[in-house]
Order: sequence, then structure tokens, then C-alpha cells
Amino acid sequence: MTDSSIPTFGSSQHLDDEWVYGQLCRQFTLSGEGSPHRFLKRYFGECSSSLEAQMRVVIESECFGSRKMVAETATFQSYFQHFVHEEGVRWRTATPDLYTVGRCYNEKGTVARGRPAVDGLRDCAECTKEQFTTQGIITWTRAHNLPGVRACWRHATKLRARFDFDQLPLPDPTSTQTSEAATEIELWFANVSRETLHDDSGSRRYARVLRRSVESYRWTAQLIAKGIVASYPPAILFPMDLTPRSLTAGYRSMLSKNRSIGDTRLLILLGHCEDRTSQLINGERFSEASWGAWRKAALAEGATPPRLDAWVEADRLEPFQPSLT
Amino acid sequence: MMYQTENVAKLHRGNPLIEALPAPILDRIELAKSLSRGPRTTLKTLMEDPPKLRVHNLVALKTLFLAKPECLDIAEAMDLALREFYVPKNPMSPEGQAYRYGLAANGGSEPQEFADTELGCMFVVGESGMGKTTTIRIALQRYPQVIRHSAYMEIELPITQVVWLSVEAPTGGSTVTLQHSILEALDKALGLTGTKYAHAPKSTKSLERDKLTSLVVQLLRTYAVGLIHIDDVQSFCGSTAGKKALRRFLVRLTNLVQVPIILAGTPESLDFFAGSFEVARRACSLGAFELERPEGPEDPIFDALVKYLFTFHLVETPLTVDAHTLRVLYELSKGVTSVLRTLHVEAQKIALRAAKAGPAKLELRHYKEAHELLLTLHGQLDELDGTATKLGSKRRK
Repeated sequence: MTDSSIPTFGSSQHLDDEWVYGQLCRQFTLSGEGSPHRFLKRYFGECSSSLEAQMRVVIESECFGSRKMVAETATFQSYFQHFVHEEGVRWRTATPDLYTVGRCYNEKGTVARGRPAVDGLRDCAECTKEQFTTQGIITWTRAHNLPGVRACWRHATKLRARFDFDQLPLPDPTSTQTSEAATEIELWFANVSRETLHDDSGSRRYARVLRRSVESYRWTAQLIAKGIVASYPPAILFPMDLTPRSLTAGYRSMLSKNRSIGDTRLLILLGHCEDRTSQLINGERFSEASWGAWRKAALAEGATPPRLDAWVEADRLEPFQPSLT
Repeated sequence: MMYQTENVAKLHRGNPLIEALPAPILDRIELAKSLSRGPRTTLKTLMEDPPKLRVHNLVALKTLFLAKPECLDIAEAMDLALREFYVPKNPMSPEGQAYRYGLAANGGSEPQEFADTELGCMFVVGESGMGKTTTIRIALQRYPQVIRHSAYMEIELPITQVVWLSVEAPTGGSTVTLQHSILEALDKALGLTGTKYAHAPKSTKSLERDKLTSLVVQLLRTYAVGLIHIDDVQSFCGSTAGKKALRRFLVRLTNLVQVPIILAGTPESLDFFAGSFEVARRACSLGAFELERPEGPEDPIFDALVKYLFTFHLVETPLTVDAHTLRVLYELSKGVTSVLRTLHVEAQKIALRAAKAGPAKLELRHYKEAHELLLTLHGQLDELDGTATKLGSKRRK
């Protein structure tokens, strides 16, 4: 802080899985300052509207604890460490900004456009209500704000998003709207992302997948598309225009729409589908048991759930049941 | 940080904001002792100086204060209000945390709404010099002004609690200035030297006014302010706009922050309550107290006051308290506490100067001479003649 005589408001109290940005927002609320700009200027000597710059100053001020402690417990460092530090990867070297804001870089190593990680500030309405009821404090949690995560891993509902990050808002605990159920793939992805965040085993399995896959995602897409086509008789696929060409195009489209999250999303996905990928590469047909994972993969590739459901019905397969553990 | 474990009411247990306060004084005599003030240095020590030098020691008697029954009532009411209003703000409860973050209005439990005719205030009225400010400030000083919590029952609790703030109503009755006074008092309590809260813009534009109020409201929540004392509220009664503005501000403050406010003022401040003490009594939900002027020399309170004062003297031969002395002293002071104390100190000054090197003897004429010296007060004191001492029945015009 710029003025050592400024007392703590008490917001340095660390909450479970709280993002450092959440701590900043709570601090702002307790300060009573009407303007985030004035608040940042006054307490941190920083008036930049860039979230990265703000976070940098806040962490360097050590008002929420030592830099190391904050980086480990209140940023996305432990998540990204699974993907970086590997030579030969065409990702930019990890930076504090990457850790604190959760913004990803695309495969070309350039920073993605958009504000913080194009998905905005995300919270689960149910979690927020729960926080309010049990603790009286609401904040932003890391698990909800990981790149590409759009579902709550606990409540299996879609996350809410807002983009006014420069206003240092806190989630709204009063919403009476019923939360929409998340899709299986969203839920699965949220779970895997959270596990990755809390996985401090030092595993590099995501990094291995990264090295192999980022370079060749288009090739992988083609393989996936070919695999799907090979698994289903033309009578089902062709009326829906599901050809290797159209599937690959859809895959690319998905990546270009989510440039900031595409890589990470894909990497985790592929990390879990590693076996399936090798099956594809070997030109194996899908077994019934591998259907669930493939369904997720296909959904992630842009195939719509109704289409997949139609396939499930046609083949009398059991719908995929995601595991919350 | 030490928390009280004994003499804590059941409803207050587990609330660090209350347990950090000194235990309530349950015995009225003990309370009177804790509120009354004598000289800090023993009289025996002060008497060791020769009379001419002893004159300088008389300053020690200027802080003399005898807590009257009304003072005890005020202190008790303040203590009750302080603890009562801390109950829902327990930071160990979700409601208490929601209060800190100003979330109660948005979700969860709604704050208690005070009706427009009712204020979450306590009102203390009395003639100037009757000890309103002294009573309230001494009662407030029983509590530490700032308590810094770090952990409670092994749970992290980094909260700074400001137990009370005392401000003077600004001349001219501007609520913007009043809010700045509150911020200044907060700065002072917290010992802020650099970036201060009181640096908020002093604009009268409605948007800035609202921002200022929001700042004040949030900081009162953030620092869990327990009591606010606003002195000399008669400053607001000069204009209808001033009265309305203060009323609006107080209603807003008590509704949003739920902090008990102690208003203190002279009988002129009754204008704030349509000129009636009875209305004030009804309007102030936490009570209205009147520091009455003794009705005459026979009033037992006056008698006690004089006897208390006369136990503190720096002369070899003090004055004996009898009916005649009481009558003269009442005539001179009109029963106004601060005037009586000043007369007592000034009379001793005269006696000590007259004594030169020999033993000093205090006589009634010294009080009369001292009274003559208080020229500026004569007009004011004369005005008190013939006015009722009880505001409930009649007000001084």
C-alpha cells in the first residue's frame, strides 16, 4: 500500500479457493470508495484500467500476504504450471499476468483478445447464495474462473458471467433466477479444470499432451472427424452433413471463436482422451465403452448435443453419466 | 487481544465485538465512582507548595466531576445500546459479515427499519454547562476507542473495531460538514496520518453528497463503529432546512448502519423535535435524558454537588457547607455545574493570593468576588432566573 498507516479492513481473511481479484473486490467494498479508480489510486498508487496492471500492483504490495503465498493460493499459477515450463512449446512463457488474470495465450503465442479470459468474471449463483448464507461474505473463486470453465463443478449448473471487471464488483447473491443445467461436457471440463488447479503433484501429463497436440490440432481434428464418420453408417451421417470436412471446419471454427481458451480447453480434453486419440490414430473403431469419452470429445469439437443424442438413440447406447469425483 | 469471559450476557457470548469491551458495571455506586472525576494528583502533594505557587495547582481541580443520577442513567443507556446494536453485527455470524459488506440491504436479513417519527438515537438535553458533553465523553472513555482483532477462538479475524466516535455538530448545520467531521474523527481514532478518509471531496452537489454518505455508511460498517456522539445539535436548529437535513441524515444513518447515535444539545435543540421534550422522548427510540438544573439551594443534588466540590480544596481552612452557603452559591451559579466548579476554583485562587505566605482561608466573599470576575456569564445566568428547570413542562424562551 502507498500509505502504511492505512489499516486493514479485514478482507485479507483468506476464503476457500478465493481468487486474488475477489480479495481486491472485497477490499474495495469495505473501503466505501465509490470509484474503483479512486480506490486503486489511493490505496495502491495505481490507476490503470488494465486488470493485469492492477493485479500486478496489488500482489506486489503484499497486502494480501507474501507474493509467493498469494501466487500459490489465490492465483491460477498451479493450474497453468501443468502446461508451461516445457521447452519446445509454442506458448509464451508463463507470466504473472497469466497466473493472476487467467488469460490464456493462443497457439501463436500472442495474447488473446478480449477481457479477462473472454469468458468474463464467472460465478455460480448457487455457490454465491451458499457463500452468503453460510459466511455472509461473497467473492470470486478460482475454480469458476479457470479458462474455458462455464459450469459449476458442485452444482452442475451454468456459470453466470459479467464483464465489468474494472468496477471491482462482487457477485450478486440476490438473483432469484433458476440456474440453467450445465451440459455434460461443460461439467466434465469444469471438474477436470478444477482437478488440474488443485493437482500439485508436479505431473506434466498435460504438458506432454500439449507438446504433441497443439502443433497438430488440425490433424487431430481430422482424425476425430474421420473416426466419427467411420463409426457410423453413411445413412445416419450424411443427411446431417457430418463429413470429415464439415467436422474439421466446425472444429476450427470453435477454436477461432474461443481463441483465448481454445488451447487450454483442447489440451485438457485431449489429456483425458489420450487413449481415444491413439485409437483413432490406429484407425480403430469405437467400442461401446469408449462412447462416453468420445461423446464429450465430439461435443467439444462442435457437434451439437441433439445430434449426439440422436446417435445415442439410434445405436441404443447408454447416455454418458459424468462423474463428480 | 483479551476477550471477556465473565460477566457476559448469554446473548453476547461468542461475539468478539462485545467480548472485547470491558465488562458492564452492574453496581450503580461503582458506576458513579467510575464516572466521577477527582484531581489526578493527591491533594496532600499539591498542598505542599506555598500559597503563591499553589495557585498554579488549582488547575487540577478544573476536571472535577460528580456523576449525578442522570449521568448514571445516560451511561447505562449508552452501554446497553452499544452492546445491543453489536448483537446482530457479530462478525462470527454470516449476518454480521453481510452487515460489514453492506449486503443486508440486498439479500439476507433486512435491516431493522426505523419509522420516520422514530430515530435510532438517544437524546441528551440540558443547559449549557450542566455536564452533557463531559458525562457522555467520560462514559465513552470507559471503552477503548479502537480495538484491533486478529483472531477469535483460533479463527482468523482481522477486524479493526472503532467503538465510538465523538463529533461536534458544525456551525451552520451542514450535513456534509457533519459527515466530514465523522470522517475526521475516524481518521483521528485510527491514527491515520497520510491518506485520510476526511480527504473526500467537500462538494454540495447531490451526486457527491450521496457518494460521501455512502463512504461514511460503509466505513461505519467496515470499522464496526459502536456509538456516535453528535454534540451541540442546536447548531442544526437555526434553519428549517438544517433540521430537515439532519433528520433525514440521521434516519438514513440509523437505518443503513444501525449504529446508535447520541445527540446532545441545549434546550434550543428541542426545536429539532418540534420544541417539545415529550416529542423528543417519543422520537428517540433509545431514550431521552435531561440534565436538570437543581431547582434551588435545597435540592439534594445541589447539596451533594457542593459537598463533593468542597472536599477538593487547596486551602488550609475550607468553607463549611451550611444552608446560607448553599443559598449564596446557588444564587451565584444558578445551579449550573460548570459555573459552580469555576467559582470554586477561582475563589480559592483569590483566597490563596490574599493569604500571601500565611495559611489560606476560604470565605464566602471569595466566591462573590469570583462571580464578579465572570462578567461575560452574568447576562446568561440572569436569563436562567425564573425559567423552569424541567424541560418537560416548559422551555426557556
